Amino acid sequence: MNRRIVWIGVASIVAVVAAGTVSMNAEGSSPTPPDRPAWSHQDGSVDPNATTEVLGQDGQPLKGPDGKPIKVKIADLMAPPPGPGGHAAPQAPLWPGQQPSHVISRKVTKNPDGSSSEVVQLGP
Amino acid sequence: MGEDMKRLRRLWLYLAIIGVFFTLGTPDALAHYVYQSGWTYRTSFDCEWTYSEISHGVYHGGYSKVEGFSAQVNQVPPFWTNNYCGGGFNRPAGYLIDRAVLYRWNGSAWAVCRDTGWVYNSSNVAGFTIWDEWSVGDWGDPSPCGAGSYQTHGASFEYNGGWHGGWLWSGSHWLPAY
Repeated sequence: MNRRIVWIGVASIVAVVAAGTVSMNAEGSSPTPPDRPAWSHQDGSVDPNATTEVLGQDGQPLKGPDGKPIKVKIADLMAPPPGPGGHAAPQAPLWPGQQPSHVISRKVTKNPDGSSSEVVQLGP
Repeated sequence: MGEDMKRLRRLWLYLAIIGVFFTLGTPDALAHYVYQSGWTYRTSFDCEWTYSEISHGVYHGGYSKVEGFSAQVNQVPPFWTNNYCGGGFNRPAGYLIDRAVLYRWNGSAWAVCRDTGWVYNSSNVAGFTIWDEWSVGDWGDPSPCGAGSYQTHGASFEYNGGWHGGWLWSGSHWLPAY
């Protein structure tokens, strides 16, 4: 009797773990994401040349006037403003010669019918 | 026989608990909120502590919270060498900044979904908190860039001759979450 209980238990655990694994894989369309992007290192430093896409409300990358996905330089995104102040000032280059990438301004507003609309403005 | 039945019932109880754990989904979806915190800047004079969180929020589509705290280093007698980050280091308005950038896993990379931009303190304080409900409520999916794994990249800095602080990843959370 005891041996039977043990076998039932082992078989059940295997079945449950297998079902759970299938469930986890089915929930996302991709493998489990890493803890951080490849450009973000454990010591807090980042790859200065790395870029990232910007997603729209549908989860698809936003595209610029040329039809290509907009890429934002990570270094621009993360750099603090030049100095203290009460407003977000233009960001300083992190190294000599660095050119700023797109400046993206976006605003989501709720419509009376309950839907929302998003305005995205691209600057130099 | 009665003892065997008790064991069997106990076994099935354990299995039920394990089953609930696995079948509810990915581990990051199980947590109501996911966060990391720690000192992102330390010197012999000042320190900055940063907190970065992602959770499902009131509307289930996502919520980010970022907190910064500026501290001065205290030195401990008798040798005044055991430095530790201690009391709050109050900074004037505009000398503290926080920011939350929301990323979504697109299947091959983490991509920017939302961004609060830099937010400044408005009074003389040692720290402050920003938070944002990202829910949009369209198409029955309140997550701002579609269902998926999200995380907050949170930053806090204090200005003291330069910006002192850093960024922290919150850890990932599946959205929307109910």
